[in-house]
Amino acid sequence: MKNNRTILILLLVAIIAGGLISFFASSSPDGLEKVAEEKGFITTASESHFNFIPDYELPLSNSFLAVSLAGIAGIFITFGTIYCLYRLAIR
Amino acid sequence: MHLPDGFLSKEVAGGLLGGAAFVFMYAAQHVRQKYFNARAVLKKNLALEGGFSIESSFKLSKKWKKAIQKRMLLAATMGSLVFALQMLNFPISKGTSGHFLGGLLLALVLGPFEAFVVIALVLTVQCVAFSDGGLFVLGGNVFNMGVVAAVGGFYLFRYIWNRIKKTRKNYFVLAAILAWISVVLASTFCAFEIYLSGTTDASVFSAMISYHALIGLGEAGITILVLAYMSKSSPLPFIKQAKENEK
Repeated sequence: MKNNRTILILLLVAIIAGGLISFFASSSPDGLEKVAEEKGFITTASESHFNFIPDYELPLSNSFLAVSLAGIAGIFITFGTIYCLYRLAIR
Repeated sequence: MHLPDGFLSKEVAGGLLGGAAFVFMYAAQHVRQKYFNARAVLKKNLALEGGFSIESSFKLSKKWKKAIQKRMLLAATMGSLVFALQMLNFPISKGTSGHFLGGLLLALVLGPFEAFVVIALVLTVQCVAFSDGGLFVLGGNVFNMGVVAAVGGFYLFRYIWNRIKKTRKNYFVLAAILAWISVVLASTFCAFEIYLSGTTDASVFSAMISYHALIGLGEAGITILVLAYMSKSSPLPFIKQAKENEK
Protein backbone atom coordinates (compact mmCIF):
# COMPACT_ATOMS: atom_id res chain seq x y z
CA MET A 1 0.00 0.00 0.00
CA LYS A 2 1.15 3.46 -0.85
CA ASN A 3 -0.14 4.82 2.44
CA ASN A 4 2.15 2.53 4.45
CA ARG A 5 5.14 3.74 2.49
CA THR A 6 4.20 7.35 3.17
CA ILE A 7 4.05 6.64 6.90
CA LEU A 8 7.43 4.91 6.84
CA ILE A 9 9.03 7.76 4.92
CA LEU A 10 7.55 10.39 7.22
CA LEU A 11 8.92 8.46 10.22
CA LEU A 12 12.29 8.29 8.53
CA VAL A 13 12.21 12.05 7.92
CA ALA A 14 11.34 12.53 11.60
CA ILE A 15 14.29 10.37 12.68
CA ILE A 16 16.67 12.21 10.34
CA ALA A 17 15.38 15.57 11.57
CA GLY A 18 15.38 14.67 15.25
CA GLY A 19 18.43 12.43 15.21
CA LEU A 20 20.81 14.13 12.78
CA ILE A 21 19.80 17.66 11.84
CA SER A 22 18.79 18.55 15.42
CA PHE A 23 22.49 18.71 16.32
CA PHE A 24 22.92 21.64 13.98
CA ALA A 25 19.84 23.48 15.25
CA SER A 26 20.34 27.03 16.48
CA SER A 27 20.82 27.25 20.23
CA SER A 28 19.89 30.94 20.32
CA PRO A 29 16.84 31.83 22.42
CA ASP A 30 13.59 31.40 20.53
CA GLY A 31 11.18 34.24 19.78
CA LEU A 32 9.40 34.07 23.14
CA GLU A 33 12.62 33.77 25.18
CA LYS A 34 14.14 36.69 23.29
CA VAL A 35 11.12 38.86 24.01
CA ALA A 36 11.32 37.84 27.67
CA GLU A 37 14.99 38.86 27.75
CA GLU A 38 14.30 42.20 26.07
CA LYS A 39 11.39 43.03 28.33
CA GLY A 40 13.24 41.76 31.37
CA PHE A 41 10.79 39.10 32.53
CA ILE A 42 12.93 36.08 31.68
CA THR A 43 13.87 35.90 35.36
CA THR A 44 10.27 35.12 36.29
CA ALA A 45 10.59 31.75 34.56
CA SER A 46 10.75 29.00 37.15
CA GLU A 47 12.51 25.67 36.91
CA SER A 48 10.61 22.86 35.26
CA HIS A 49 9.01 20.26 37.49
CA PHE A 50 10.55 17.50 35.46
CA ASN A 51 14.14 16.60 35.01
CA PHE A 52 14.27 13.58 32.73
CA ILE A 53 15.97 14.89 29.59
CA PRO A 54 16.20 18.68 30.04
CA ASP A 55 16.95 20.76 26.91
CA TYR A 56 16.73 17.76 24.60
CA GLU A 57 20.17 16.60 25.65
CA LEU A 58 21.15 13.37 27.32
CA PRO A 59 24.01 13.51 29.85
CA LEU A 60 26.63 12.06 27.49
CA SER A 61 30.18 13.24 26.88
CA ASN A 62 29.72 13.07 23.11
CA SER A 63 27.57 16.13 22.38
CA PHE A 64 26.38 14.82 19.00
CA LEU A 65 25.14 11.56 20.50
CA ALA A 66 23.63 13.42 23.45
CA VAL A 67 21.34 15.46 21.19
CA SER A 68 20.83 12.78 18.57
CA LEU A 69 19.76 10.03 20.97
CA ALA A 70 17.54 12.45 22.91
CA GLY A 71 15.82 13.35 19.65
CA ILE A 72 15.31 9.73 18.64
CA ALA A 73 14.08 8.87 22.13
CA GLY A 74 11.63 11.75 21.90
CA ILE A 75 10.31 10.54 18.58
CA PHE A 76 9.65 7.08 19.96
CA ILE A 77 8.14 8.43 23.19
CA THR A 78 5.79 10.67 21.19
CA PHE A 79 4.88 7.89 18.77
CA GLY A 80 4.31 5.41 21.58
CA THR A 81 2.26 7.82 23.69
CA ILE A 82 -0.08 8.76 20.87
CA TYR A 83 -0.47 5.24 19.51
CA CYS A 84 -1.03 3.61 22.91
CA LEU A 85 -3.59 6.20 24.00
CA TYR A 86 -5.43 5.75 20.71
CA ARG A 87 -5.47 2.01 21.13
CA LEU A 88 -6.77 2.37 24.68
CA ALA A 89 -9.46 4.87 23.72
CA ILE A 90 -10.69 3.17 20.56
CA ARG A 91 -11.37 -0.53 20.54
CA MET B 1 6.79 29.35 21.73
CA HIS B 2 6.72 27.10 24.79
CA LEU B 3 5.84 29.16 27.85
CA PRO B 4 7.77 28.17 30.96
CA ASP B 5 6.13 28.29 34.39
CA GLY B 6 6.18 31.78 35.86
CA PHE B 7 5.37 33.85 32.76
CA LEU B 8 1.65 33.59 33.42
CA SER B 9 -0.23 34.43 36.60
CA LYS B 10 -1.99 31.68 38.53
CA GLU B 11 -5.38 32.91 37.38
CA VAL B 12 -4.52 33.03 33.68
CA ALA B 13 -2.63 29.73 33.72
CA GLY B 14 -5.38 28.03 35.70
CA GLY B 15 -8.12 29.31 33.44
CA LEU B 16 -6.26 28.18 30.35
CA LEU B 17 -5.55 24.78 31.89
CA GLY B 18 -9.24 24.30 32.55
CA GLY B 19 -10.17 25.50 29.09
CA ALA B 20 -7.58 23.30 27.39
CA ALA B 21 -8.68 20.26 29.40
CA PHE B 22 -12.26 20.88 28.37
CA VAL B 23 -11.37 21.23 24.69
CA PHE B 24 -9.22 18.11 24.95
CA MET B 25 -12.09 16.04 26.34
CA TYR B 26 -14.40 17.35 23.64
CA ALA B 27 -11.88 16.78 20.84
CA ALA B 28 -10.95 13.29 22.07
CA GLN B 29 -14.63 12.33 22.15
CA HIS B 30 -15.06 13.76 18.66
CA VAL B 31 -12.12 11.77 17.31
CA ARG B 32 -13.38 8.59 18.98
CA GLN B 33 -16.76 9.14 17.39
CA LYS B 34 -15.13 9.60 13.99
CA TYR B 35 -13.41 6.23 14.25
CA PHE B 36 -16.67 4.54 15.19
CA ASN B 37 -18.49 6.34 12.39
CA ALA B 38 -16.05 4.71 9.99
CA ARG B 39 -17.23 1.40 11.41
CA ALA B 40 -20.85 2.31 10.74
CA VAL B 41 -20.01 3.17 7.13
CA LEU B 42 -18.20 -0.13 6.66
CA LYS B 43 -21.13 -1.95 8.21
CA LYS B 44 -23.52 -0.33 5.77
CA ASN B 45 -21.34 -1.30 2.82
CA LEU B 46 -21.07 -4.87 4.04
CA ALA B 47 -24.80 -5.14 4.65
CA LEU B 48 -25.39 -4.05 1.06
CA GLU B 49 -23.24 -6.91 -0.14
CA GLY B 50 -25.54 -9.45 1.37
CA GLY B 51 -27.42 -10.51 4.46
CA PHE B 52 -25.95 -9.87 7.86
CA SER B 53 -24.46 -12.88 9.56
CA ILE B 54 -21.87 -13.82 12.15
CA GLU B 55 -19.42 -14.26 9.34
CA SER B 56 -19.99 -10.76 7.98
CA SER B 57 -19.80 -9.17 11.41
CA PHE B 58 -16.45 -10.88 11.88
CA LYS B 59 -15.38 -9.55 8.50
CA LEU B 60 -16.55 -6.08 9.54
CA SER B 61 -14.47 -6.07 12.73
CA LYS B 62 -11.42 -7.20 10.82
CA LYS B 63 -11.88 -4.61 8.10
CA TRP B 64 -12.50 -1.82 10.58
CA LYS B 65 -9.50 -2.72 12.73
CA LYS B 66 -7.28 -2.71 9.66
CA ALA B 67 -8.58 0.67 8.51
CA ILE B 68 -8.27 2.40 11.88
CA GLN B 69 -4.89 0.85 12.55
CA LYS B 70 -3.54 2.74 9.58
CA ARG B 71 -5.19 5.95 10.65
CA MET B 72 -3.77 5.59 14.18
CA LEU B 73 -0.30 4.99 12.78
CA LEU B 74 -0.67 8.11 10.65
CA ALA B 75 -1.68 10.19 13.70
CA ALA B 76 1.25 8.86 15.75
CA THR B 77 3.65 9.41 12.85
CA MET B 78 2.48 12.98 12.31
CA GLY B 79 2.90 13.59 16.04
CA SER B 80 6.47 12.34 16.08
CA LEU B 81 7.26 14.24 12.88
CA VAL B 82 6.03 17.46 14.48
CA PHE B 83 8.03 16.65 17.60
CA ALA B 84 11.21 16.15 15.56
CA LEU B 85 10.67 19.26 13.43
CA GLN B 86 10.05 21.33 16.56
CA MET B 87 13.60 20.44 17.66
CA LEU B 88 15.06 22.22 14.63
CA ASN B 89 15.54 25.81 15.73
CA PHE B 90 16.49 27.94 12.75
CA PRO B 91 18.12 31.35 13.20
CA ILE B 92 15.86 34.24 12.22
CA SER B 93 17.69 37.40 13.16
CA LYS B 94 20.66 38.30 15.30
CA GLY B 95 20.76 36.00 18.29
CA THR B 96 17.21 34.73 17.92
CA SER B 97 15.84 31.47 16.63
CA GLY B 98 12.48 30.00 15.90
CA HIS B 99 11.05 26.59 15.29
CA PHE B 100 8.24 24.91 13.44
CA LEU B 101 4.94 24.56 15.33
CA GLY B 102 2.99 22.27 13.06
CA GLY B 103 -0.51 23.21 14.14
CA LEU B 104 -1.84 23.95 10.67
CA LEU B 105 0.04 21.04 9.07
CA LEU B 106 -1.56 18.60 11.51
CA ALA B 107 -4.98 20.16 11.00
CA LEU B 108 -4.75 19.92 7.21
CA VAL B 109 -3.70 16.26 7.38
CA LEU B 110 -5.76 14.96 10.29
CA GLY B 111 -8.60 17.44 10.65
CA PRO B 112 -8.92 20.04 13.42
CA PHE B 113 -9.91 17.84 16.35
CA GLU B 114 -7.47 15.04 15.79
CA ALA B 115 -4.76 17.65 15.16
CA PHE B 116 -5.60 19.24 18.49
CA VAL B 117 -5.39 15.91 20.32
CA VAL B 118 -2.06 15.07 18.67
CA ILE B 119 -0.46 18.45 19.33
CA ALA B 120 -1.68 18.44 22.93
CA LEU B 121 0.00 15.06 23.42
CA VAL B 122 3.21 16.26 21.74
CA LEU B 123 3.29 19.29 24.05
CA THR B 124 2.68 17.05 27.06
CA VAL B 125 5.58 14.77 26.10
CA GLN B 126 7.81 17.83 25.63
CA CYS B 127 6.78 19.18 29.02
CA VAL B 128 7.15 15.95 30.98
CA ALA B 129 10.08 14.22 29.28
CA PHE B 130 12.08 17.18 27.99
CA SER B 131 11.30 19.98 30.50
CA ASP B 132 10.22 22.15 27.55
CA GLY B 133 7.27 24.29 28.61
CA GLY B 134 5.96 24.45 32.16
CA LEU B 135 3.45 22.11 33.74
CA PHE B 136 1.07 24.77 35.09
CA VAL B 137 1.16 26.67 31.81
CA LEU B 138 0.64 23.53 29.74
CA GLY B 139 -2.94 24.69 29.26
CA GLY B 140 -1.61 27.95 27.83
CA ASN B 141 0.74 26.18 25.44
CA VAL B 142 -1.97 23.76 24.36
CA PHE B 143 -4.33 26.67 23.86
CA ASN B 144 -1.88 28.71 21.75
CA MET B 145 -0.56 25.91 19.57
CA GLY B 146 -3.60 23.64 19.61
CA VAL B 147 -6.74 25.75 19.80
CA VAL B 148 -5.41 28.87 18.06
CA ALA B 149 -2.89 27.50 15.55
CA ALA B 150 -4.43 24.12 14.72
CA VAL B 151 -8.21 24.49 15.20
CA GLY B 152 -8.33 28.23 14.44
CA GLY B 153 -5.99 27.83 11.48
CA PHE B 154 -8.10 25.01 10.10
CA TYR B 155 -11.38 26.90 10.20
CA LEU B 156 -9.80 30.02 8.72
CA PHE B 157 -8.38 27.84 5.96
CA ARG B 158 -11.76 26.24 5.30
CA TYR B 159 -13.53 29.60 5.33
CA ILE B 160 -11.27 30.99 2.61
CA TRP B 161 -11.01 27.70 0.68
CA ASN B 162 -14.77 27.60 0.23
CA ARG B 163 -14.61 31.03 -1.39
CA ILE B 164 -11.78 30.60 -3.89
CA LYS B 165 -11.10 28.53 -6.96
CA LYS B 166 -10.17 25.04 -5.86
CA THR B 167 -6.90 24.32 -7.59
CA ARG B 168 -3.71 22.67 -6.38
CA LYS B 169 -1.85 25.94 -6.65
CA ASN B 170 -4.40 27.81 -4.57
CA TYR B 171 -4.29 25.02 -1.98
CA PHE B 172 -0.56 25.41 -1.43
CA VAL B 173 -0.63 29.21 -1.54
CA LEU B 174 -3.43 29.27 0.99
CA ALA B 175 -1.69 26.66 3.18
CA ALA B 176 1.47 28.78 3.19
CA ILE B 177 -0.39 31.97 4.07
CA LEU B 178 -2.44 30.27 6.77
CA ALA B 179 0.68 28.60 8.22
CA TRP B 180 2.19 32.05 8.60
CA ILE B 181 -1.03 33.46 10.06
CA SER B 182 -1.40 30.56 12.50
CA VAL B 183 2.05 31.22 13.97
CA VAL B 184 1.52 34.97 14.21
CA LEU B 185 -1.94 34.45 15.71
CA ALA B 186 -0.60 31.94 18.25
CA SER B 187 2.14 34.38 19.25
CA THR B 188 -0.44 37.15 19.59
CA PHE B 189 -2.47 35.03 21.99
CA CYS B 190 0.71 34.12 23.82
CA ALA B 191 1.52 37.84 24.18
CA PHE B 192 -2.04 38.51 25.31
CA GLU B 193 -1.77 35.90 28.06
CA ILE B 194 1.54 37.35 29.24
CA TYR B 195 0.06 40.85 29.19
CA LEU B 196 -3.08 39.72 31.00
CA SER B 197 -0.92 38.13 33.69
CA GLY B 198 0.68 41.51 34.35
CA THR B 199 4.13 40.07 33.62
CA THR B 200 5.03 43.00 31.37
CA ASP B 201 3.50 45.94 29.49
CA ALA B 202 1.66 46.07 26.17
CA SER B 203 4.89 46.36 24.17
CA VAL B 204 5.06 42.54 24.41
CA PHE B 205 2.55 42.38 21.55
CA SER B 206 4.68 44.13 18.93
CA ALA B 207 7.80 42.29 20.10
CA MET B 208 6.19 38.85 19.91
CA ILE B 209 4.52 39.54 16.58
CA SER B 210 7.65 40.94 14.92
CA TYR B 211 9.75 37.86 15.79
CA HIS B 212 7.00 35.42 14.91
CA ALA B 213 6.31 37.13 11.60
CA LEU B 214 9.77 35.84 10.65
CA ILE B 215 9.32 32.43 12.28
CA GLY B 216 6.06 32.10 10.37
CA LEU B 217 7.99 32.14 7.08
CA GLY B 218 9.83 28.99 8.15
CA GLU B 219 6.53 27.48 9.23
CA ALA B 220 5.00 28.21 5.83
CA GLY B 221 7.93 26.62 3.99
CA ILE B 222 7.98 23.42 6.05
CA THR B 223 4.19 23.10 5.97
CA ILE B 224 3.94 23.17 2.19
CA LEU B 225 6.95 20.88 1.77
CA VAL B 226 5.33 18.18 3.90
CA LEU B 227 1.91 18.73 2.33
CA ALA B 228 3.36 18.57 -1.18
CA TYR B 229 4.98 15.24 -0.39
CA MET B 230 1.93 13.81 1.34
CA SER B 231 -0.55 14.98 -1.32
CA LYS B 232 1.10 12.64 -3.82
CA SER B 233 0.21 9.45 -2.01
CA SER B 234 -2.27 10.15 0.79
CA PRO B 235 -5.81 11.42 0.47
CA LEU B 236 -5.65 14.84 2.17
CA PRO B 237 -9.02 16.44 2.99
CA PHE B 238 -9.02 19.59 0.84
CA ILE B 239 -6.72 18.72 -2.00
CA LYS B 240 -9.06 15.94 -3.11
CA GLN B 241 -11.49 18.64 -4.27
CA ALA B 242 -8.74 20.39 -6.16
CA LYS B 243 -7.83 17.16 -7.95
CA GLU B 244 -11.43 16.52 -8.92
CA ASN B 245 -11.73 20.09 -10.19
CA GLU B 246 -8.73 19.80 -12.44
CA LYS B 247 -9.77 16.55 -14.08
